[in-house]
Amino acid sequence: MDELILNLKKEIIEVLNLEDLTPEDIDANAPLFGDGLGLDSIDALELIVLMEKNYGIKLEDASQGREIFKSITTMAAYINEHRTI
Amino acid sequence: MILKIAKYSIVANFKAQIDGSIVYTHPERNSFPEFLTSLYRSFPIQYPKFFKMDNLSKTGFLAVELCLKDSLAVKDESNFNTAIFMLCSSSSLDTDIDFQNTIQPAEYFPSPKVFVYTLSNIVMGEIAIRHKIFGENTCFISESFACQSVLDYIYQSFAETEIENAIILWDDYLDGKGESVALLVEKENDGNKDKMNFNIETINNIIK
Repeated sequence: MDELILNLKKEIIEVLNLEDLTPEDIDANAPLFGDGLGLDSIDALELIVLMEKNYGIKLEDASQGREIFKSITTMAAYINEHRTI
Repeated sequence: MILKIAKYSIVANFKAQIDGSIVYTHPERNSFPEFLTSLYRSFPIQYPKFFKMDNLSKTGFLAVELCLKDSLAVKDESNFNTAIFMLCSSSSLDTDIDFQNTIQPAEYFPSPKVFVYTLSNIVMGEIAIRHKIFGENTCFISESFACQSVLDYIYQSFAETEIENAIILWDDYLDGKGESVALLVEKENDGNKDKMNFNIETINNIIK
C-alpha cells in the first residue's frame, strides 16, 4: 500500500503539473481539494482519466468521486480494491 | 483622441525585454518551454497555476507580468476599466495538436487539462484572473501584430466605453517557438505626453 501511495503521489504531481511539489511535500491524508492540495474541477477530471489509464478503473458513477478523491489514502484504497491493470 | 504606450514588454528569442531593455536572457537556446519556466522562476512571485497553463498562455502571461511590473495604472485590485485586446496568428493550434494526440484510436484518453486550453482566448482569462481585470476582453486572429483594423477597433472602444487603459497583447506559439509583446496603453494625459503614440508605425518599431 505504501508503494502504491508513493506512486500515486508521483503520478499526480506529473499529471497535474504540480512542479513545485515533491512526493514528500504531500500528506497522504490531507484533502486533495479545498485546503489541502487545492485542486480544482479540471484536476478532478484528470484524476478520473488517470484512474482509467493507469489502473483500468472506469468510474461509472461520478458521485463516487467525492469519497474516492478525499485524499491520496482513500484513492489508493479504492485502486487497491478495484484495479484491473 | 490620442492613445499612448505607457510601457511595453517582449518575450521572444529566449530573451525578455521591458521598454527596450533586456531584463532576462536564457543561457541556452534549445527549448522555448524551458526558457519560459526559467523566466517565471526569475520573478519574485508564487503562482503555481502557471505550471498548468499551455505554452501560449505561459508566453502571454509572462509578457503581461513584465509589462505590469510596478504598474500604478493596473493594480492588484479590481480593475473594472482595464481592457485586454489580444492578437494571435496560430491561435491555439499547438495545444489543439496536443489534444488530438490524446484522442488517437489506439490510445483514447481525452485530457481535460489539455482540452481547456484549446481556445486561444483563455490566455486573456488567465491574465484577467491574475490581475483582477474585469473590463472588455477581445481576441483577434491576425497574421501580424500591426493590424490597422484591430487598432481602429481599440481606438473606437476607448472612445465609446469607459476604458481607461488596456493591455494590448500579441501572443503566438506553435511547434516549440513562441513570442509575445504586451503594451500598456492609456489615454493621453499630462503625465504621459512624452510617451510613444499607439499606432501601426510604433508597433512596427517595437517588434522590428
